[in-house]
Amino acid sequence: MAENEHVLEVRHLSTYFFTDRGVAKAVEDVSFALERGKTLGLVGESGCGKSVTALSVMRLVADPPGRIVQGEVLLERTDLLKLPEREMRTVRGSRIGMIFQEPMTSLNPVFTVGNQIMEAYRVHKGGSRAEARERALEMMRVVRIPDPEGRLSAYPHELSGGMQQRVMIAMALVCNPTILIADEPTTALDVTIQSQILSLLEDLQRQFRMAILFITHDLAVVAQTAHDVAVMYASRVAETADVKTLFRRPLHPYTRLLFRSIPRGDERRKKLDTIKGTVPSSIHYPSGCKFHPRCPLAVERCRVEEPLLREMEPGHFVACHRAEEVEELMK
Amino acid sequence: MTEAAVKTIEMPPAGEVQHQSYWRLVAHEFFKQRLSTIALIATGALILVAIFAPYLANNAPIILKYHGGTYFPSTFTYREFVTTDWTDFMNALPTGAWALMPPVPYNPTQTDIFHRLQAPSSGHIMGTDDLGRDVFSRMIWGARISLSVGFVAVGIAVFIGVVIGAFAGYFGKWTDILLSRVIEVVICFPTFFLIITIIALVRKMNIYYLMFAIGIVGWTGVARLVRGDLLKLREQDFAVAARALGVPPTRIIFRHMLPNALGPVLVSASFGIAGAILMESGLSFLGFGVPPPTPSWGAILSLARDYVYQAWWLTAFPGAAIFVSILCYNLIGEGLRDAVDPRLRV
Amino acid sequence: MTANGKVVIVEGLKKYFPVRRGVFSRTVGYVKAVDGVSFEIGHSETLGLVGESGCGKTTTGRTILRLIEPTEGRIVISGEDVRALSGNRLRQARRNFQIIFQDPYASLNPRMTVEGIVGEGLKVHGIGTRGERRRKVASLLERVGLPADSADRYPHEFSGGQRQRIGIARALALEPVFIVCDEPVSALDVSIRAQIVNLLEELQAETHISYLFIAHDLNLVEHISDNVAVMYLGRIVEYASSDDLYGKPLHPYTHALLAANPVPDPETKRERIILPGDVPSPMNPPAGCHFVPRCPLADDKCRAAYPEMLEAFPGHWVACYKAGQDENQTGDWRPETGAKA
Repeated sequence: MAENEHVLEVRHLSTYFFTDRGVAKAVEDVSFALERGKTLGLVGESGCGKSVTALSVMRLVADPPGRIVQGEVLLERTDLLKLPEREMRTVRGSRIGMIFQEPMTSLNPVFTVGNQIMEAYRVHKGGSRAEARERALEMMRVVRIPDPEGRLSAYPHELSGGMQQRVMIAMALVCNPTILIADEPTTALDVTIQSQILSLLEDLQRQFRMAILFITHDLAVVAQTAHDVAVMYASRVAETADVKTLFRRPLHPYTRLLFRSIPRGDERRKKLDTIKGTVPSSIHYPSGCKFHPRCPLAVERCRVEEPLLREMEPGHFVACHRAEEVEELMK
Repeated sequence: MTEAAVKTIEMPPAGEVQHQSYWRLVAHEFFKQRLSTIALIATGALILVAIFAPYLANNAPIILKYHGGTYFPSTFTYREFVTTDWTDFMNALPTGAWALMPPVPYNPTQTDIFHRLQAPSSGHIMGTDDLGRDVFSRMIWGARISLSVGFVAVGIAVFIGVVIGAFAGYFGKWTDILLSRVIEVVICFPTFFLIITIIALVRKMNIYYLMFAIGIVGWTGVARLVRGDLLKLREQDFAVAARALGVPPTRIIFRHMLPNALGPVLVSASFGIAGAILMESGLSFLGFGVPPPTPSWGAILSLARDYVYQAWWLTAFPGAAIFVSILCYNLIGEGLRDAVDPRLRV
Repeated sequence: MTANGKVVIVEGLKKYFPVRRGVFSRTVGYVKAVDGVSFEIGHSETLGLVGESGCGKTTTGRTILRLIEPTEGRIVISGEDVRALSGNRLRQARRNFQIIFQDPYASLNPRMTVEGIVGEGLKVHGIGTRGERRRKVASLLERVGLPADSADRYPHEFSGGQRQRIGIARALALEPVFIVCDEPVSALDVSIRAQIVNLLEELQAETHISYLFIAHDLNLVEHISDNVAVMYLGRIVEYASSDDLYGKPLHPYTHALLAANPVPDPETKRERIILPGDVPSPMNPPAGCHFVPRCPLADDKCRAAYPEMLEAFPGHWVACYKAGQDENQTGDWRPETGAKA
């Protein structure tokens, strides 16, 4: 990975929420990098901190009660965390675009979709209404919305979920950002629509050489769309590797168990592997390795010492004290 | 691009939350608000005053030791004392007798022409009215009227409103169509005049007719609230689950739906009490309320009209009392409204 | 008591929702949410019902239990004609058929304790004394894997997966023969899903309950179901055993659905059959085959009349003139020459 290829570098990011029930450490010491034209899948279950990570990068975390307590977010050498809010606003939407899970609630119901795409453009690039309108139409064609002229004056509720998501993508990309953050963009969509949207994102990435940070809990989607994957558990990155390596040789017990608990058609009626216990609350994390209460390989050291990411093979990092033994012990 | 809505991060429930029923959570949220808590305490004090009025403002002693016997004249009526004028009795108390007097040694209906329209003094903390009655005593007993009218009237209104709203909301279709029309018709009546009409029709006015009249016109707000909530709640999965289990409709309404709809009803009730107090004061002020000599804050205000410049105390004290108690109920209502906010629904 | 061994028999089930417009709420049309659905489920069997939003699978599930009143059709559960029942008899009959919901947060009454929730069925049907009910609830909670002290707690004290277990305990309390599972794990985390799915399978092995498993996760449905029905716009377009459906899908929609389904394996790049257009709304289905607007094989015959449901192979039914004609399809069955039902 050549240094100049990293369009976004996140280093040791930590975000905490200070509530009256205690401090919730939503993101702890998370680091990753995005390359032009490639997709990083950020995978984890609810509460693991993946969404908060994305919001932290965009500095959209509500303060109070949340606060980014540590870390650097380097967008082509500039640390976003140190920018004054005014400048950060020029980054959001123009250099980094973001799309969300629920397009229905992320689009303003009282404005037409054309209006919203135009606004996204004019806020950053200025220009006349006519220019913005042209650009909006162009974007709608790029995201393959049929009959763009007609749809320009449609309201969000008049469109289907898939169309709404395309509108969101159009809004996110209208200023040609180098990075797109997609937070569970297809989770709420039907599988055939999801297929369309994923295919669209793939084509757009090829066309614009965008870096995509794709957040999801769906391992199958990650397998099909990401080039690299980072698996998060309870605020930390547990394992990261390129997608083929991760699926072929997962080395973190959590990742291994997760893969085994997904039903696959070829093993019908066999009992699924489960991970005993539940995801811990972010206010009361277990000591040491946060996965140890649920881990079949946990030993005393795991209870006491938090494991750090170690490079087990080139490009494959695992945060586990017993990573070397995982393959042998967990067939 | 519209500024991205910051998602509320769903925190998994902390392990320590133990056995907290919904109402305990509501109470917890309520007491976090200082103003509402103070209002609740003040109202509590007022309610205590109203309950213990006979022991706080009375010309009869609380405890009396007389001729070897122990009596509790403010609690019980005794045959030997039936015709006693307690004021005279206490003035001429024989030696050897001992009495514990209430802090305000006047009863609200005892007149004293020689001491009429006296300004507040050590003898009469809030002065006297045009018949020489002690204002403080009348204020204390007046609290009883205001609060009981408030609670009972609202109680009637809430009962009717909840039942009608619940049936309209749960059964829908024809039941709803019919009941909604009934609600609308009642709303159209100008409540104040309706109450006066009811009062006019009554032969002998007493406080119960008053409570009834206020209650019977005031249920529509609650009915609509409850109807709206039930229409929504009926579609919730847990309601469908109850039907799937074979739970009969009445049980579903009263056991499942209503407890979930009570929050806003309580808020409405709280504001309703404030409204009822105001209504009673207004009616008494105009002469349509409680008949004399029953003490009511509105009644005191009524006769204060003739003495506005000479006897400021007749306006100030009841006015302040009405203001404070309505303010307190409104604050409680607001506190409850925030406390039952759906964001509490974990 | 079952008829010809089947616990659940559904024939020609329809549910039309009237669309009202105007000041006088005139009925201008119908949303045909369920438009002629038929199937059978045997003892200890699971029928998977898949389809995308608007296909009518959730409505089907609820209509069978008469939580929504069917417009037409025959429903027989455990030998009893469910549509013929009413009032108290219907309420009593409900003991035999229950439902598990998708949303673990909305399906439990937040004001009731777990004991109240799980034991309510027993209470309203007058089963057992208070003490017996309490014991039964305790044993149910244990069976679904919840700690003993859960009974006195409130739903908000539990996680999503645990709440779902409470819902399962509630459904089991009355010892039904049939349970409709309406997307029971869709709202749960991946690692919790497996726990719940295993639990459901264990319970079936123990008590021989039949399930109607409604879901949109194709892999999950394949795993848990014996037979699968694919729904599109209110009708079943294909019906087969799990192996047959996933092994040799015949309907172009099934094909596209399976192709769109991402596989958790980066090495397998499935043939992407991108269906054009949107998932349709059941308001105005086209005449003829409903799938025509999105079907790559549609022709005039398809536009003219809706294809009949025919048995292509034993136990494998499909409603399509072009069944098995996808380029990627290896089957050689043709509707004109194949066996008719």
